[in-house]
Amino acid sequence: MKRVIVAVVALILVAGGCVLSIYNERNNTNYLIDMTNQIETAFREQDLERTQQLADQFVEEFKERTRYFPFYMRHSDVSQIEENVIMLPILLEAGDMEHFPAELARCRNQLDKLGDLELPLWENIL
Amino acid sequence: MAITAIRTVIIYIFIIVAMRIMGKRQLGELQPVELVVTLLISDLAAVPMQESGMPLLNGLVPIVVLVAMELLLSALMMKSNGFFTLISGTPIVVVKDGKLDTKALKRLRLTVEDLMESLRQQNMFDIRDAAYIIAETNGKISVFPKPDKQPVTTGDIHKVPSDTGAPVIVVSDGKMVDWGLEMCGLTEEWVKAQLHKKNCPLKDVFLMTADKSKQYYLLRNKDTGASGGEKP
Repeated sequence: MKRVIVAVVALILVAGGCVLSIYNERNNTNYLIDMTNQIETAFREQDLERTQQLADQFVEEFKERTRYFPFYMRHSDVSQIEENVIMLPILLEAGDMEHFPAELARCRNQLDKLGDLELPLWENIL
Repeated sequence: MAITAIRTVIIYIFIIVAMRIMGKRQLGELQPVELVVTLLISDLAAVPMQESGMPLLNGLVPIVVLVAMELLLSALMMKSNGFFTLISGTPIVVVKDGKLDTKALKRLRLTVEDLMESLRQQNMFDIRDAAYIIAETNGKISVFPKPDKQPVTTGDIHKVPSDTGAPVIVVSDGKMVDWGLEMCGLTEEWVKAQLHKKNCPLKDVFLMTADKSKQYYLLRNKDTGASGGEKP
């Protein structure tokens, strides 16, 4: 009977961990996607100072908010996005206004996919 | 490299705990489903050990789930005979009253050579000596010989010796073995008294076995490697 209790507790803990990881992932990726939208708006309004400020902030926020992602996600999935995120303020500083929107769109798309990666959807399960 | 080493230590400890929780069944006695789970666990454990880019949890979570499912499945199998039959099947009688059932052999996908090999492993070289042969759910073959081929027991010749129980280890490498003492109903004081009689301190004992009738066998450290050992 003791072993059955251990089994049930283990399954409950795993289920809890799954819910927590999905919540953490969705919550943080949604926040980061919102930030990319803000950066895009500032960029479209030609407010380069604010865009630069938001891009710098975005890099810091990304590092902070994806700190626990490698606990349950492939490290390469996170580091691949990080490489692109770091490029954003550098592109702005260098005045490369042609590539910046494309890089920003790529980051948003990658974050969007990352947010769905842990969801128990059929396409992820199968 | 340090990461791999640390991850290996964590997984090693985790696997020991998981196997301990799963229970004491011997590998040869595993039901097919248990064997598959054991193989799966070993495979799952190997992946995060080698791939440091993979989260450790991706290896540990499937193991936890498999062990938990296995425990629940075995609990259900103990509760319900129907469920046990569904998962593990039923034993199949291959030889009944000395007659070979070829249909049963076909159902088991066993050849006569396979059957003879299993019989030989049980010291039966002639199939005619078997009254019953049963293929168990874990894949092993059980054999019951015909009455005239069964070995004679002490009961058959009405010379039953007194039940002294099996000799068990009571001292191993200078340390008392509690379960052994409990099994043969002896106390530490009794062991110490016997050792005192033999003028042998506890730390000098390599092995001491005893049975319920207080018969014991003592092997000192200095006697190991030679044909040593003392009886009372």
